[in-house]
Amino acid sequence: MIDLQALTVSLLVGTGFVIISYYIIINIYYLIVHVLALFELRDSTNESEWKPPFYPFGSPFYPGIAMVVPAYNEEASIVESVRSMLTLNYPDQEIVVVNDGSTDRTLEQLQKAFKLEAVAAPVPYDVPAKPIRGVYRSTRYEDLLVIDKENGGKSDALNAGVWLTEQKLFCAVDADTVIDRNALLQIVRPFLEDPEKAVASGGTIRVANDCTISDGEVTEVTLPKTGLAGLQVMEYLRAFYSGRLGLSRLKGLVLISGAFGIFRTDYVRAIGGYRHDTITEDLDLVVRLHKYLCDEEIEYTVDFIAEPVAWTEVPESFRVLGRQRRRWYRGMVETAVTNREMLFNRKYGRVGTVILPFFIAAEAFGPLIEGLGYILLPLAWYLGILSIEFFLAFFLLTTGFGVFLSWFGIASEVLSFNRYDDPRDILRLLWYGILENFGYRQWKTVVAWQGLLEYLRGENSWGVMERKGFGGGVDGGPDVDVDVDTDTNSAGSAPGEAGALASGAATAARVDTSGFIWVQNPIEREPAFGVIDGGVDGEGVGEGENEGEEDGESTDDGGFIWTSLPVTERTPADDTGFIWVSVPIAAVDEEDIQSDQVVRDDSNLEMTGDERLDDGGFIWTSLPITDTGLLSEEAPREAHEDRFRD
Amino acid sequence: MSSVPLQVVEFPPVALLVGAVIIGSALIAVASLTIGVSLWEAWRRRRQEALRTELAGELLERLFGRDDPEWEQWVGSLSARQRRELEPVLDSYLRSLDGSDRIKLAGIGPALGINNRSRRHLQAGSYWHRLHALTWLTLLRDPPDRDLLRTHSTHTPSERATAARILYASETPDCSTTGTDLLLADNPSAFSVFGVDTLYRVSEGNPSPLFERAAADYDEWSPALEQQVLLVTRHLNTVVGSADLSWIVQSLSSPTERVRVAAYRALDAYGWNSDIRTQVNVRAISEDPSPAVRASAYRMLGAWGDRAAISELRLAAAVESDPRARVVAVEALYPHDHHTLADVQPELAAAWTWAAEHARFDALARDISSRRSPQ
Repeated sequence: MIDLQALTVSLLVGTGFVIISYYIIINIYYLIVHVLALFELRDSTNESEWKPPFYPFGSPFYPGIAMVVPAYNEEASIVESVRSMLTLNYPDQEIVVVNDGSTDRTLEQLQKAFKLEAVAAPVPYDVPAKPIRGVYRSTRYEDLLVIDKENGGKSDALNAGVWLTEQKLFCAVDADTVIDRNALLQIVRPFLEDPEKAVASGGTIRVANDCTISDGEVTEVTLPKTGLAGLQVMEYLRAFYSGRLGLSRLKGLVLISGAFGIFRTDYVRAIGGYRHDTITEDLDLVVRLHKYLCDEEIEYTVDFIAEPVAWTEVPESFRVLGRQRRRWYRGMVETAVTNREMLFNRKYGRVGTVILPFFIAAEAFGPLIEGLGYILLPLAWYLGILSIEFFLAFFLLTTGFGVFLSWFGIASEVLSFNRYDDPRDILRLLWYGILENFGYRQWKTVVAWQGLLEYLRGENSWGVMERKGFGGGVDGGPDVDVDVDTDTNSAGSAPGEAGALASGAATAARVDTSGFIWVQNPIEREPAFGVIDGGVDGEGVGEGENEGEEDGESTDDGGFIWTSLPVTERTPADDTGFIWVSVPIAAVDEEDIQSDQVVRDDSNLEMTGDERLDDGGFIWTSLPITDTGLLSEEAPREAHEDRFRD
Repeated sequence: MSSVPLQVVEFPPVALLVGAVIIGSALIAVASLTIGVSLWEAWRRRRQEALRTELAGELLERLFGRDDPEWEQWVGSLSARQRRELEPVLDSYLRSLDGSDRIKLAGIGPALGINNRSRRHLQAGSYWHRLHALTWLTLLRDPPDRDLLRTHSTHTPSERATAARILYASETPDCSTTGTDLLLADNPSAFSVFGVDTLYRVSEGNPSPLFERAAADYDEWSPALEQQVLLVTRHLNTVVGSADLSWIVQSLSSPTERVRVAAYRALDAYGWNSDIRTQVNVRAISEDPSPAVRASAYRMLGAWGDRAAISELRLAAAVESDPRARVVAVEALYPHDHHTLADVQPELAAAWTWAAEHARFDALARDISSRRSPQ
């Protein structure tokens, strides 16, 4: 017994030394990355402040960019997204929308809005993607191409777009990402400054929750009201303004967000495009690009530009965020394992010998080791070998250093682009830098362990999320669509955190309560519909000023989804009920409208399934709500569908 | 259970204290800096926006509302802060205006002391100071002495390009010669897109200096620079009949793929030149291992567009093994060769229908654009 105790104590002490040593090494790495980020930020700011005295739109030498937009069941927002992209400032731009076997009316919406006509010819070369059902071009917009293909997931859709464009560069962008008007002109800068060597370039992803978005552009930047989203804002700043800038300075950027990044089309084709069997295709792509270019001994740069900004929503519930972060974690481990031959291999230069090993040590092992520490500490206390003074001192020092790194990222933002006008927002961000150390950070270690277990179990689903969108869906329809999160892991996070940061999805509707669910999305110029059939049980489901909306009361910024069961208990088969839509009923697939359905407007006019309302109303559906595009985050989906989107 | 002392991992109190002081100080410093800058910026931004709006209004009133804007007098009445804020406003309008309005507006530069300051920075400033100085002089159309440019503006490709840009923007008589000299003397490394555009602009009216330098120095250039000069050559509309273009022909056999690609396209405008054509071994196109090079050559033959070129193109398309290059060949062929699908060789049928369809859509879009433009 004594021997066993001695062995346990020795193990604990040894593990403690390993953890402390690891902590010191990793934090030195973080500190170096953060300090280098300052230099990079200074240079980046200088470069962005210098505007060459010429007019880009008059130059024939700007490289063409294809915006490749994978779309799966995006009927609510795809038209607005494409319109927004058509208005981006760039001299030579093409939009390639890839409809990845959507089961809703994504393609029809595009056809109608942009006067698409089918190209009456099969694609005359092989495309490494699921079969292409048709290619469409707009008769109005010369630079809009729509590819309709069978469902194959996001990577598959991106590959179709990459193979069908003739542009020198392509920009992978999520359909629901809001891009600053001048972002393309900024993100392309490495390709302008060093056209021979630039291979990829990424911009900053920022959190759009609670920002004001008008005409497809973020017009007012405010910090989200909820703490979880606010914490993520702080994480994003730390990841982008410290982590990625620092890695870019080291010429070792291994991650460009899948929500907004541009790449040389020919090199991406040369490595076979995006891999289908990965759940973080963006990380995998950049790592493979490094590998290929080193193998071929091609001089290249992969750059991060701080100023071009794309905006995305982040999850506002721990459940959704946890799912997102587990996926990121699994993807990071998967990419590390797949490309393990690069590790400590001098052939792959700085990326192979320094960056990737540290990246993996910090981002993959960090949270695991920290989580282990949370288990060992009580054990050590129980065994009486924990020096409370030492523990407190260590905790304060590590926490203090973590807060310092977080504040470093916020300071970088304030010193450079300073998008948050209100100093109170900055104060809140600083507060979040402290707050995350008490609960949130520990929660992330649990998530990392769960991610590791999922990876070991071979789980490869993306998980499904709901996203409230940025408002103003097609025809003003409720802009709730289901999405899975985007991307990415990042360096520059506090020690022990996965630091997986970039664009993500958000849960908008409260889906864990039965009854009518208020969907808070702007619905422009749509007539109101009274709530019918069964009355409203709005208790606990209303949000903010919209809470307590009454029957028949006009509403111009949202709608109700009625569910017959608590969402947490629903199965797809149970997902029946009335769904309020403001889009024309004609926009709903006929097969979605069952024979026993009743469609009513606020005057209680009953209509049969083959009748149509022009401007919306309640639809009874006995199908899973998933089939209407208004998905519960609990609703299971086929794996290939789950994996589609970021 | 007996407790085991953990003396080995206890830090000396002094070490802990030092660590705490360092981290605590760093936290206080970062927080103070962040909050301070945030408050300052918020205050500054509010004032700046109002001030710039006010200054822009006054500037436009003087520019468009008076015969004599009296820049000196107005600037003399402004505070130092107002003068500082006026500069970005001026920068913005100088980039967007043209003609007599721009010339009139540029008169405010000397009043603000920008011209003299820029010359000083050019002589003794840092890299960014020099670059901004060159930019101001370009916007103000105020070319400095050539010696000053040669001595202080050729350290980097960006400076070279901006220096040459001043000459182009100011429409100086030596724009082509001195501009090309500034850009290409001493065999610089590759340019940014701005540099390439500037080389194009200074050579647009008179490509002879560029061609002469290329003929002399081409062998010493890096492949990246070769490619860029070839790219510029492709876009030059002014054809020089007597120019020595053997360097382009020489580039067709460059070991670097991208140089060969650029070289074929550079010859787009020289299909009429029998001397050049005899030097280009069109039959060798099919033997190039790179589909991208072959595709570029097909585009060149399409641009030449005469019977002999189209005949070669048709032959090459028929034996092209790469599907993507085959499509390019057919796209180049299509405008000159309106066969119906039934007349097309079977191996080209798929590419032909694809090219025909896209040509139809292109024409449709152009038609819509042309119908829109009068409105």
